[in-house]
Amino acid sequence: MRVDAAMCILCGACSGVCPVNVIEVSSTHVNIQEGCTRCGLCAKVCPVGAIGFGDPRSKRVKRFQRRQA
Amino acid sequence: MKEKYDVVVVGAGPAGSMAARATARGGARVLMLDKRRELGVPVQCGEALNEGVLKELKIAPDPRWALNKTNAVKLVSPSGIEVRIVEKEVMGKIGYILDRKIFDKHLAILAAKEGADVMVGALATGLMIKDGRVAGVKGVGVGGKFEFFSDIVIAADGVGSRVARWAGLNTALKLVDIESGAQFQMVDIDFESQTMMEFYFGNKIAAGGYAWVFPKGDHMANVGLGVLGGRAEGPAIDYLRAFVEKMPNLRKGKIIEINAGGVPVSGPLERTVKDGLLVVGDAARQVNALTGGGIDHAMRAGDIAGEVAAKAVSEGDTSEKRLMEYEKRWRELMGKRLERYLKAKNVLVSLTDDDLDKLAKALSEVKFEGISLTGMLRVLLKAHPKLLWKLRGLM
Ligand SMILES: Cc1cc2nc3c(=O)[nH]c(=O)nc-3n(C[C@H](O)[C@H](O)[C@H](O)COP(=O)(O)OP(=O)(O)OC[C@H]3O[C@@H](n4cnc5c(N)ncnc54)[C@H](O)[C@@H]3O)c2cc1C
Ligand code: SF4
Ligand code: SF4
Repeated sequence: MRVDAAMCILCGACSGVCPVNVIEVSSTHVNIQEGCTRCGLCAKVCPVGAIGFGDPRSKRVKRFQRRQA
Repeated sequence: MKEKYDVVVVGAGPAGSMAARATARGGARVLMLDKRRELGVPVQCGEALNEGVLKELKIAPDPRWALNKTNAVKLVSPSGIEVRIVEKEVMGKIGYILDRKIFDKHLAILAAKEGADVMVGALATGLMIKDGRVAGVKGVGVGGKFEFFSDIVIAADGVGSRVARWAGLNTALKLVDIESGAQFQMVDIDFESQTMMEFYFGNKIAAGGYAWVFPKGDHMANVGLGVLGGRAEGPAIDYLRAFVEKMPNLRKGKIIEINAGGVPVSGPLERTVKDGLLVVGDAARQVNALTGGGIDHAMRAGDIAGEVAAKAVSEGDTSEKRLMEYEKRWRELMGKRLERYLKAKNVLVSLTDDDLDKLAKALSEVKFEGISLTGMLRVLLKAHPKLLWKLRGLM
C-alpha cells in the first residue's frame, strides 16, 4: 500500500481497520510495516483517499477530473 | 522521567488525560505519553460536548475552550423537511462547542497538576511483555528510543488502537463498524442561529451517516460529515465538498481548517481488561454509535480506569480479575445506553431516503413540549405503521 504524505491527515482510521495491525501512524507519517495482506480496507476507510494500491494522488486526480467532465 | 512507573497511559486525548489524572489522584506514579508534539492537534472531531460530563468530573467550563453554547437542534431530511427541537423541552440539556486544541491540552494540564508525568512527541511502538503479561511500553520519540516498565498500561490510543492488540485483544474494526469523517472549519458563512446544531440526513448527502453544522461563533462553524465504511462510494471529503457546494449559505464560505478521522460505531469491546491492561475511550470503542459522540464516554471511562488502576497498584494485585472492577463499573454507568444507541444507529442506517422523509414529516407535526422520546416514537408509529418493523428496535 502507498500513502501520499501530502494528502494524509494522520487520523489513524486506516490503522483502526487493518486486520493484521501493520499500520503505524506517527506524528509525521504513516508506515506500513511487514505483513500487509493487501486486503484494501485501509484504502476504503481513509476519509481523504490518501492511501491505496499504486499512487493515490494520480487516482484522485483522475476521479476528480472525471467528475468535473 | 523515571524508568519504572506504576501505570503508563498511552494517548493523551480525553480518555488518557482523565485516566492519568485519576491514577495520580489515587496516589500511584503515572506517566502519560502521546505521539503528538502538540496535544489536541490535529483536531479529529466535531467538538460538540454535553455539559453533564464536565459537572460530573468537576471541570469548570472555560471560555478559552468552551467556545459556544447550544440548546437547540435542527434535523433536516433528504428532501429538506426540517424538524426543530429545543433541547430544554425534550431533555433539558445544554451543549458546548469546544476548541479541542485547547480543551485537550487543558485536560492534560489537569493530569499533570495532579502529579502525572507527561511525555509528548513519544510514539509507542510496542509493549514490554514479561512472563506472558504486560510489563510496560516501548517506543520512539523526539528524544530517541524509550522503554518504561510499569505494572499497568492504560490503552487510550484512540480509534487507531494498536496497544490493546499488542496485548492480544482484537480491536480491529470491520468496515461496517467505522464512520469515516471529514470536516471543514469554515468562516464567513451564514446559519440560522448560533445556539442551534444542524444535522442533515440522506444517503446521497452522507451514506449511512449524516452531515453537521456546529456553530462555533460569529459566522463560523464546524461543517462536517461521516459516511459509513462499506457504504460510501468514495472518500468522506468528496461527500463533504459536494455538501458544501449544495448549500447556498455555506458555498461562499472560506475553509480555514481541514479535519478528518474515523469514528468506531461497533459498540464497545467485549472485554476491556487483561492482566496489567485497561482499554479506554475510542480504543475501547466506547462511543455513541448513533451520533458518533465519544468525548464524554472517553472521559468517564478514563476516570474510572485511573481510579481502579491506582487501587489495584496499592493492593499489589494488577491481574485481570482485579481490574475487572473497571469493566463492571463502566458498563453499569454507560453500557445500556451505548447498546441503545447502537440499536438506534442500526435502524437509522437501514432507512431509505424516502423513509427518512416520511419520518421527518411526521416529526415536524409533533408538538415536542412535554413529550418523552418514547411518546414521540409512538406518534411516529401511528402515522407510519409501515415503518414499524424498521423502528421496532428502538422501543
Ligand atoms: C470527524 C469526527 C467528528 C467527531 N465529532 C465528535 C463530536 O462532535 N462530539 C464528540 O463527543 N465526539 C466526536 N468525535 C469522537 C471523538 O473525537 C472521540 O470519541 C474522542 O476524541 C475520543 O477520545 P480518546 O481519548 O479515546 O481518543 P483520542 O482523542 O483520539 O486520543 C488518542 C490519543 O492517543 C494518541 N496515540 C495514538 N496512538 C499512539 C501511540 N502509538 N503512541 C502514542 N500516542 C498515541 C493520539 O495522538 C491521541 O492524542 C468525532 C470524531 C471524528 C473523527
Ligand atoms: S486513514 Fe488516510 S488520512 Fe488517516 S492516517 Fe490513514 S492514510 Fe492518513
Ligand atoms: S491493505 Fe489491509 S493488511 Fe494491508 S495495510 Fe491496508 S488494511 Fe492492513
